This record gives sequence, structure tokens and C-alpha cells, in this order.
Amino acid sequence: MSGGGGQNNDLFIESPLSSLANDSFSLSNPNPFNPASSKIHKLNPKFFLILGIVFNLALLGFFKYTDFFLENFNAFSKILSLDFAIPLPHILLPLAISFFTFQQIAFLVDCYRRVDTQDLQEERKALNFLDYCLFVCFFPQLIAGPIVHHKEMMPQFHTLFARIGSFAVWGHCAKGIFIFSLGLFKKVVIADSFAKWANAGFAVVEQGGNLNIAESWATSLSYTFQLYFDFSGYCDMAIGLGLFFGIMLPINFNSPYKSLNISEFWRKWHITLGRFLKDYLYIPLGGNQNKKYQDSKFYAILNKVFTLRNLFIVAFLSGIWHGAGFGFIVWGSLHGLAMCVHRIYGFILERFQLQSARFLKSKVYQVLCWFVTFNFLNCTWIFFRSENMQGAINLLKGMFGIVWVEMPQKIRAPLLLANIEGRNDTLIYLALAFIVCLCFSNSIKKLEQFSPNLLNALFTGVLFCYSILMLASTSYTEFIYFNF
Amino acid sequence: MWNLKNQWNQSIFNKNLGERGFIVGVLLIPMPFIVLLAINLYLYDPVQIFHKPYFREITFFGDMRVAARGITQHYNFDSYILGTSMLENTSAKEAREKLGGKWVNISLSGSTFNERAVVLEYLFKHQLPKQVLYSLDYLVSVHTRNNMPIQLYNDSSIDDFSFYFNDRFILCSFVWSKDKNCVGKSDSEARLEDSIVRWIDKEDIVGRFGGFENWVKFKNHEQLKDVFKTLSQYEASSPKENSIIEELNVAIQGNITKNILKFVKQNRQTQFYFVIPPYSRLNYKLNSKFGGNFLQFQSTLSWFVSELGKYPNATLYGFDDLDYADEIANYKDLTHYNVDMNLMQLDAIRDGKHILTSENIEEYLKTMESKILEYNIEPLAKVAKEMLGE
Repeated sequence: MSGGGGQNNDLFIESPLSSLANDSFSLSNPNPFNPASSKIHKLNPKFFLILGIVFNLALLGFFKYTDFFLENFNAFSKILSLDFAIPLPHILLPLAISFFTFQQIAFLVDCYRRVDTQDLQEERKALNFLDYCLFVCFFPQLIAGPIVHHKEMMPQFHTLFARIGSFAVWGHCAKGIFIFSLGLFKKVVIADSFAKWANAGFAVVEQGGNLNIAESWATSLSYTFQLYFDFSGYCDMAIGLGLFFGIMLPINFNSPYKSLNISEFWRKWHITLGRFLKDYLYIPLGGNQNKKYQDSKFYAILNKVFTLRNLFIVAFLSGIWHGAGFGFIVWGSLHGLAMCVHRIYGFILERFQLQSARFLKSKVYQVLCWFVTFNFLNCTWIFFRSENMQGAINLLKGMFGIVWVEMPQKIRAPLLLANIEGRNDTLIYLALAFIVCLCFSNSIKKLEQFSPNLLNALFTGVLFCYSILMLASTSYTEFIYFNF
Repeated sequence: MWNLKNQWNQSIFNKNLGERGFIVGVLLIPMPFIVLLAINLYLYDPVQIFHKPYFREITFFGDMRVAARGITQHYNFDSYILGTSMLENTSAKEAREKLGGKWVNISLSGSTFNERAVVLEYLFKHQLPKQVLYSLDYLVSVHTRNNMPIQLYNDSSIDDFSFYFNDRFILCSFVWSKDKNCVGKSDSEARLEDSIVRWIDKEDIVGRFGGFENWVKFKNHEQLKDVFKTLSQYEASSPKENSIIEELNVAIQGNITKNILKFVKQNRQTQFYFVIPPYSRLNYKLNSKFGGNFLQFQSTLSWFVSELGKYPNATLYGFDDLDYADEIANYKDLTHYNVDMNLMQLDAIRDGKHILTSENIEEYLKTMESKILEYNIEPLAKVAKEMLGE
């Protein structure tokens, strides 16, 4: 397993073991498949569920948020003149902890609720530890997702050996190499090119500097596209690697930058995270039903208010999940607010029965919706990326002309974008990225339409070889989602 | 429409290869193209990694980190000016006339000692230069940088190709472009005689020499914008602590030994000329409150002089005891002097003047220090304050 620099791989093994211990308890009460369960079947399964979830979340919290918590505790104590100055432990993050924590929680909850557990029980007397480990550690998707669910993985693992030697293996490999090459190209050629400009721009603003309006927009757009091509590239590569083993991983992206509203964006961006948060957080919180209050005479109002609360909590926690820092908190909060605003807008349309108004179906309205959504995303990614709040604010000030930096007299790309080391390529890449994101179908659609013909072989071969050549000539750039 | 579909169905590109055929195709079909691309890049060779240009005029890139490889490998020079922006205006032609030898200027803008060591390593591995002129910029800095394209200067020839494997050079090679972004500037062969990296004649630079009033005219320039702010705060600020930090001394000496003295020691047949670039007096005056510490500089320079005493093939030249550095008109910013200083340095080497030795270093540093102390910063600070409306 190779992964993001500075991660602690040894620690990775602890969590599946401890989680499985809890999972066994959960399944075993009263579990006909587990003969060892007789002594413990009288114990309260809810207790073990909570224990398992707390344990997984505590590990995540300890490794991911200790420094952040102590840093702010020190700062706060300094304000109160207590000045504890607790040294920061700088704990190494276990490889992929954010991802396998979610997978294990989903597993625990489903075992407890006895939903979607057929895949675990089929022809089995006890839960197979190796199957469980494979589910948690399956390396193609381990480090940065997609976040897989046992109901879609376990059945594939069960039938894996039966399929070896069949003709389908070659079909999977052909599809695998096709989508893997697409992903590699997205990462190495597109995302890493945007990374140069985004990194240079953010380095300036994070150190207190300012960029001119063109540099500011180029920086933010570069990051917006870098993030998309980096993460979706990774997911394509993960799907490709999975296919080499005969395993089909779930779709994680569905052209998110084509979204016309924030809610649609979250249905299309990092789909498996959204699915997890919906199933294991949003719906348990009440979702948009909030049946807890259905007997109240104010149910209609209360339901709306609690739906908004639930939406906000989910987006906010999604922000915190991505990392320890005020940037992620702001990013999550802004997305939470946007989800609420969008839902309120929906309520208003519903109240005045405007959903089928002609204007709402017009092209102008749709372009306007896309414009607002895309720019909201572009602006909020700044908080997601910036290593400090000052950097994010400086960049936004530059983008909207609040701080005006003199432009060069000659409007030429190298001069105009000097501080981010931009050239004409920057503008060309940005234009192409818009075209690719808005006008082309995504790689999953391409995979569905895949046919092993000569044109596809040429196309795949060129992408693959070009990416390998680029990889050889540029320095290593980590996948962004390795940090989460 | 139907016709197109029909044509596509019958096209060779739509031929079904089968899954196994597809995988083999993906891995094998690009091979001939890659070989052709590699051959084309080898022949085109815009940076002259492999050979002098074929079928086009000789051109060089202004970025000497890239160009130095071709210049040192394929051209018949035996003496090298290897400085930073401090020596970029030193004329190879003047050096040839004054010092003899076939000189060329391969100064790397803003380079650190470790970056220039990469070039020296390459140079001494492939030839025996007769003379090297080297500037000792920021002597007390232990800062290292790694902006060199290392693959051009290492032992392996295969990874040289990796320098060309990017969209820029691949696209350029398709059409054998002669654009300056692809192959460098067109008149660079002629300028190689003098200095490819000369900046003194550039439009936005010429106007900044001649006096402080010209700095004011360019007050928003990147290299000047902080100077006025620092000047206006000078009086109110207290002097920086001035002491020798032993740990820093060890690091500085290690850096210099590894990246400079090693080459002097190993290449006794080569004559090394080291110059201390005379930064403006104003720079040192401001440093006394805002920047590096002078005692450390004195200690390092004295050590360097004593070290050089061991090697008859190396000489150090210093100009900070002259009045030159007092005159702000000689500078475009706090550190960059006019071309007359570059000429003065060559003259000093030819005439054996301004040499720093163990015998005169103490006196030299004393003179320099007293000149810094006597330097009158007040008129400049006053202008800066007025300018900033304080």
C-alpha cells in the first residue's frame, strides 16, 4: 500500500480488527450464523453498536483533530491569560482513516438494523474475517474512495473465484485499462497542470500578498478544475484497478459541474460520501420527514425547519470530515447555508405553485442557475483549499476587486498572470476544462458505451502513454484526497 | 446521417479487436509513435542537450539553468562566468580581452550556491576549464534551492529525454517551430559573445539608475516597493542584535565547503576568481536594523579568506571599501549595481588589485564597517516618509 506522505500504515490494521469484534457482537444477537454467540447473545446489541461507532469516531477524532483542538485550546487559554501552551503532538494520520471509518460505521449500523445483510449471511455460518478485511482494505478504493458499501462489495467478493478463468475477465481488464487510462490522464496531465497555477496563486495570498483580478480568477478556477480532475481521475483509476480484479466499484462522479443547483451538485459530486451521509446521518436525523413531530399541529412548519436543520448539519459535518481547519468549517457552513437557501427557494415555489412556471423551464433561467451554482462552488472551494483564512479572504478580495492590484500595461497572458506563473497555456487549459466539463459525457458514460474497437485502443493507448511520459518528466504530485 | 453511420460501421477504426486484442493494442499501438516522437525530439533538440541545432540557426534560452548544459557541452569555451544577476552583465568579450581565454557568461539568475554546484559538477566532469569567475552572493545564507533541471546535469543520458516530454516541447517539435518559446531567442548566438543574460539594457531597468529620485519614479516596482516602507520605519526601529551564532557559522561554512571550496580543492589546474558583490551601503545600513547581522558576515568572510589561502588557484576580490557603494545612483535597487562595477571587477582581476588576503581582510572589513556607520540615511528616509504621507 503506498499512499500519502507521512501517513501511518501500521495503525490501519487496528481498526478493522476492533470493528469486526463489535460487528460480530452486533450480528450475533441473536445470530443463527455465529455459534460462538451463545455467551454474549444476551448482551444489549445497541450497546455494542454505540461502542463500535464511538470507537471508530474516537479514532478518527484522535488522529485527525487532536492538533487542531489543542492549537485552538492553546489560543483560547492565551486569551484568558492561562497560557497552557500544550505542545502539539503532530500525530501521523493512519492511511485512509476517513474512508474506512465510514465503511465500518455503515457495516455496524446495517448489522444492527439487519438491513442489507443478506450479502453477509448467504451460505455462511459465521462472518468471514478475510472477506471483511478485503471489504475494508480493498486497495484500489482504500486511500481516497469511493466509499463502498458492503452490500455492493461482498457479493462480488463471494463470486470472485468462480469468475476467474471466464471470458468476462478479459472484458473487465479491457474496460479497466480504458477507464484507468482516462483517470491517469485526468490526474497527470490536466489536474497537475492546474496545480502549478493554483499552488503559485495560493502561495502568494496565503503569505499575505494580493493578486490582480485576472490572477485571482485564474487561481480560483485552476483549483476548481484541479480538484475535480484530480479526484475524479483518482476514482476512474480506482474503478479501473477494481475491474482488473473483476470488481466493479460504485460511481463517484456524474458531471457535477453541470449542476444547476447545489442540491444537484451534491447528488453528482463524491456520490458515495453523499450516499453515506444521507443514509447514516440525514435520514436518522429525520431527513425531510421528521416523523417525530408528525402529531404536532405545527408539523408542516416544524418539518420544514427540521429539514433545514438536517441539511445544514449534514453539509457542516461533511466539511469537518474533510479536515481539521477553519477553512473546512467555513466551507461546510457555506454549503449548509446554500442547501438551506435552495430548499427555502423550493418551499417558496411550492407555496406559490410556481414549479411549473414557464420561465423556470427556459434556457435563460437554466444558464442563470448554472452560473450562480458554478460561481458559488468556485468561491467556496477557496476556503477548502487555502491553508489560512487570510489567504482565502485575500483571494476573494482580488477576485471581486475589493483590493485592486495594478494590471500590467500590456494585456498579455504571461504579464497578466505573472504572479501565478501563468502563460497562454493557462487560458487554453481553462477554456478546455470548461468545454470538457460542460459539453462532454463523463467517463462512466464512456465506460458504459465502451467497445473494444481500434479507435478506442488508439485513444486509450495515446492517453496512457502520454500520461506515463508526463509522469516521467514531472515531479510527484499527491492526490488531493489522500489528505482526507 | 445514415451514410456517415454506415461509413463508420465499415471503417477500420470501428473494427472490433476483441478484449484481448484491445489490451494488446493499447500497449503496443502507441510504441511506434513514441519511437518516432523520441527520434523527432532528438533531432529537434531545442535546448541542445544532444547536439548543436540541425537545420536551424543557433539559439539559446534566456534561462541559463536550462541553457548552460548545451553551452558547456557543445561549444568551445574554456573559461566561465558563473554568478547570479550580480555577474549577468559581465561581458565575456571584455573578459576575453582582459584576462585571456575563451570566456562565456553562464550566470544563473537568483541562484544559490547549491544550484551553481550542480553546474560546476557537470562542468568539471566533462572538461577542464581554465578559469571560473564566481560571485559570492549572500555569503551568510544557508538557504538552498532546487530549481535546476537536474536530469540535464546528471550522469544518465536516458532521462535527458524527460525534459522534453511535455506538451510545450512536443507541440514545438511537431512543426519544428523556431518560435522563441520553443527554441530561445534568435540573436542569442551573437549575444553569447557578450552575455545572453545581460539585463542592464532593459527598458524598465535603465530608468532606475541615476539617483534616488529615479527609484521614487518606480516606487511600485517589485524590487523597490518595500524599500520606502523600510526606510520610513528606520529611525523608529531599534538595532538588530548583532552577534555571531556558532551553529549558523558551522552551517554556513559547511555550505560553502560543499558547494564551492570542494571544486577549488579538486581542480587545482583551474583558476578561480571570487568576487564579493558590493551591495549598496544603504542595504547594509538597513540590514543593521531589519536584516542580516554584520558580525556574522565579517566572521564568514575572514574564514573564507583564510581557507582560500590554502589554494594558490583561487583569489578573492572585494570592493566594499570603495566609495562606489555610497552612491545610490550606481544602483537600480538595494543590491544591483551598474555595469561599470562589472568592468571594474574584470580590471581588478587583470591588474591584481582589490584582492582580499589574510593580511588585509581586517582592515578591509573595518573600512567597510565605518563606511556603513557613517552613511547618512536621513535624507532618503525623509523622502520615503513624505512619499508615504507619514
